[in-house]
Amino acid sequence: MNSTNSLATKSPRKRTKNLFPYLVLTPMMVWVAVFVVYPAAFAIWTSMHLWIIEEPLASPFVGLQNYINLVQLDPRFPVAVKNTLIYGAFVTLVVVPLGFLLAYILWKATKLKNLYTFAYFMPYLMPPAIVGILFSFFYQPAFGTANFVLGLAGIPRLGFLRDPQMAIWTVGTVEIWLRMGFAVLILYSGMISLPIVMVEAARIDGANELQILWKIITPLMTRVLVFVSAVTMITALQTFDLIYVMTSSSGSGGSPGGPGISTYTMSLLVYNEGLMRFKLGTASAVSVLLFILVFLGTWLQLRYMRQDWEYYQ
Amino acid sequence: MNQSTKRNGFNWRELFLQLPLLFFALLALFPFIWMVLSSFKTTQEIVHIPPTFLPEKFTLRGYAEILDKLPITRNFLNSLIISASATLIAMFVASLAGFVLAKYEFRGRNFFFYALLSQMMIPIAVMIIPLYVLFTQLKLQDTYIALILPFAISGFGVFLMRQFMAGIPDEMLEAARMDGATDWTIYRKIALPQVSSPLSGVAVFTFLTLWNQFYWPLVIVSKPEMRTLTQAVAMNAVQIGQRYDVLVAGATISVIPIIIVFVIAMRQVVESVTFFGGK
Repeated sequence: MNSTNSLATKSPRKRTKNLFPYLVLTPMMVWVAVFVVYPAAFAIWTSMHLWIIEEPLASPFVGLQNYINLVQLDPRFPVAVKNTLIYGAFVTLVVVPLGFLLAYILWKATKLKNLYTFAYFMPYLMPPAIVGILFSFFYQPAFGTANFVLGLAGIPRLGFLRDPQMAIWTVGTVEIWLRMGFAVLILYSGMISLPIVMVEAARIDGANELQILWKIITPLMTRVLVFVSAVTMITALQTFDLIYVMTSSSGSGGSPGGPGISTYTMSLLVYNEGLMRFKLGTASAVSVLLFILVFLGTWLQLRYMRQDWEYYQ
Repeated sequence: MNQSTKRNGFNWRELFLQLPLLFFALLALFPFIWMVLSSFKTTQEIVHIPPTFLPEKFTLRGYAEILDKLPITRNFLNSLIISASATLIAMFVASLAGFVLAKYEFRGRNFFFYALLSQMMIPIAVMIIPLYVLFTQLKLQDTYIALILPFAISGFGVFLMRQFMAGIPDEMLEAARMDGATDWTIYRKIALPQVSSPLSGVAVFTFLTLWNQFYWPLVIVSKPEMRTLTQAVAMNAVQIGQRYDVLVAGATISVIPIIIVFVIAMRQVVESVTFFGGK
């Protein structure tokens, strides 16, 4: 897969080691050190210390106390973890199957394909903060579009963002709207490059559409499906912009995370605890836990993918 | 692929496929259409039940008010400067790193590759506090540097570029070397032109990532005139609550540039996204 030929070793005139790659990559490594390694190390270090604003280096080591405090004392923490997991699962479980079905229909259709690709992908490119504002209006209980449409169908008004039980799911629908196009586009392009012979062979053998979709296309698409669900899940687990904007504007009339604390996610808890209350220790502890969560998710998916790759090679 | 019979000259199967596609396309586009149309309405008309589609009384009050209230030209320029600078850095880094990682063999190659990819692994919530502390201690809050640098390298871009650079025939590069070309010349004059299409995909994505950003500007920017366009419009909307005409006008202003970029560069965007699905 990799091109193993190389300028540095093949070139007969260059007996000495070519330093060009190091020359190029070293400055980039400085960037990685400052913007990847340092933040990660800082987050872990801080999560184990009692942060003193005036003199950070004198912050006493407290071990896992920040984590214990979070679990035992902060009522927002269990809510945030629960919401993060619900949100990640809800978004992924809608986006991937629905995106797959839409991609399949798009693949079968013959007309207006470019137009649909354009329309589906457009939301994905939009700023979530702005999208959140628009949808706050659509979900406004009294005069929002959502209740108007429900009203036409004879369904009584819903509270949406003002209902503590519903609010996180409501924000989730907006995330779904935002991410759907990405899934459709990638799955669609995966289908285009499928070995069409296999599909045709199954059809000649008398398989119907549903059998072809489930027994032939789905197994062949496993790698792409895993990729799409991994990316969607990672994004959803980290959600911040939508929650911040939608739960503080016309939704609850209060601060982000409302009504009450019902829509706190882990990203929002990091923000509130760290940058509003300046408790950097506990905030970092939340961020480390979020990192572990995201990492576990990615790792599981990658492991699954690798097995699949080997199968194909 | 199309094995349906065309009796009576009408394709029922195609219609059956078109209906759900059309429904979801309308669902995807409706908020934009609503937004643009509503930006020419008064608040009373926007909240009116039943809703109107086209503006009954065409007005520009929403736009006038937001231009009056926010330093929106400045916010727009901020977004442009920040997104464009980060994009240039990201293009340069991704193509150069992709080139050496694909075409040179050297000790630590995988290490460098994974180090650059690690950028994708770290959730932004993990970076936010350490970077806030760092930039505050350096007294660099409310500066372009703080807004540009942390997101100026894209692991995804490096990955994409490495894959495309690997596809360039080695003979081509060897021939240039025989003619006495330096490494830099080979990169600049031979390799770079071969990957211009995926590279513009990287450019569009970096540009949009920076343009759409909210979390990091929210943390590091406090002066209204240093806010990005997205941030300024979003924060204003959170504060004004019920003035929907102003809110929608602001949203339209911040989204129009993205639509323009997408219309111009749709092919490159789609190409670099579908790269993952089509392999």
